[in-house]
Amino acid sequence: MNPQSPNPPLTDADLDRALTADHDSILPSSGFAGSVMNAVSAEAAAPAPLTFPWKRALPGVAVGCVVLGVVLVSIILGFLRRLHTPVVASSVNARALFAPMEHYVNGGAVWFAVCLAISGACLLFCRRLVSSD
Amino acid sequence: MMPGLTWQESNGVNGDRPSSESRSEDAALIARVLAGDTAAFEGIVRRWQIPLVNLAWRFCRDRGRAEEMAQEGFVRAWRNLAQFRGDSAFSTWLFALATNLFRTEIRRVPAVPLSLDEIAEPPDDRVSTAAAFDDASRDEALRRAVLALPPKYRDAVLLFYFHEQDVPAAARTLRIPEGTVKARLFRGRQLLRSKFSRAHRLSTTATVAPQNPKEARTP
Repeated sequence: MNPQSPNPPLTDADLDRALTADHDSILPSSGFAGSVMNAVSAEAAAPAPLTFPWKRALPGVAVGCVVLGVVLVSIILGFLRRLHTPVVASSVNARALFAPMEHYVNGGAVWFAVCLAISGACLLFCRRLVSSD
Repeated sequence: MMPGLTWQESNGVNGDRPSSESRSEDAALIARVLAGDTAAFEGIVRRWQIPLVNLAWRFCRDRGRAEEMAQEGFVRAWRNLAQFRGDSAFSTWLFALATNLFRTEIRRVPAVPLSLDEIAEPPDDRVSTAAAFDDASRDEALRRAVLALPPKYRDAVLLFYFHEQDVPAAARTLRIPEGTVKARLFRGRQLLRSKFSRAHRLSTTATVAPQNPKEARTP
């Protein structure tokens, strides 16, 4: 820029002038609508995407949710029972606090929960794959 | 497009304000498409191609890419047409869907960022219309500068001007409250002002002393 005639600072009016549609618009090329319709026709001719088999999956999902809920509720209740039991402060240690979980850990509840989580993740992934967007 | 009207006026780009005739025409075309008449979608394409291409153009400033993006917008609209419930104008639904798509596309492959060299382009003093040329090049640099804004400010500025400075329409398209649009618009303008004053300082010093190329690329 010429230092003798510098641009004035940017004002809202400058922005309005530069960005309003009158000064900043284009027209689509003549074949645009045809091109869109070709794409839409191709899409219409393509087979519909597979829908997720909810009917088959639903019983398994429901059972999984119920079991997970039962496990979580049991753990929470165990914690609450343990917390409300009057104990000598020195005897409260991490082992005692997590004792209610031991039963479930030994019984494979953790692995069960992990399996459920993986199944849930697979379910979401499959849904994403089969969805059109 | 009707003669004497801008494409915004003729298409009712300002969100929920298209004429009832325009809305019923959209509704009739949508009903035909949903009934299985794919060819009827061409009516929708012809009605909305100018606004949609222009919306895409504002996001990328590349004609070819704008048409590709607009085409994908139409295809997606066709695919999801059954989800349009008619509680807002078709244009509102279409622009919101297209804006989401364009934002994703620009995030994937960014538009050409602002080049300070362009802003600092010295006008040719021998041209008698130097001032006009200066304005035009500055306007173009400004449009590109908008693309270099952080996405949330960029979108607010782009949609505000796309909807002819209508904040409620921009808010509906972006699906955010009007107050948020205003705040983002304010901040976006602030950023543009600061960017341009910095560019202007650089451009004025560039004519006095040779410019450091590294400095010229500083955003």
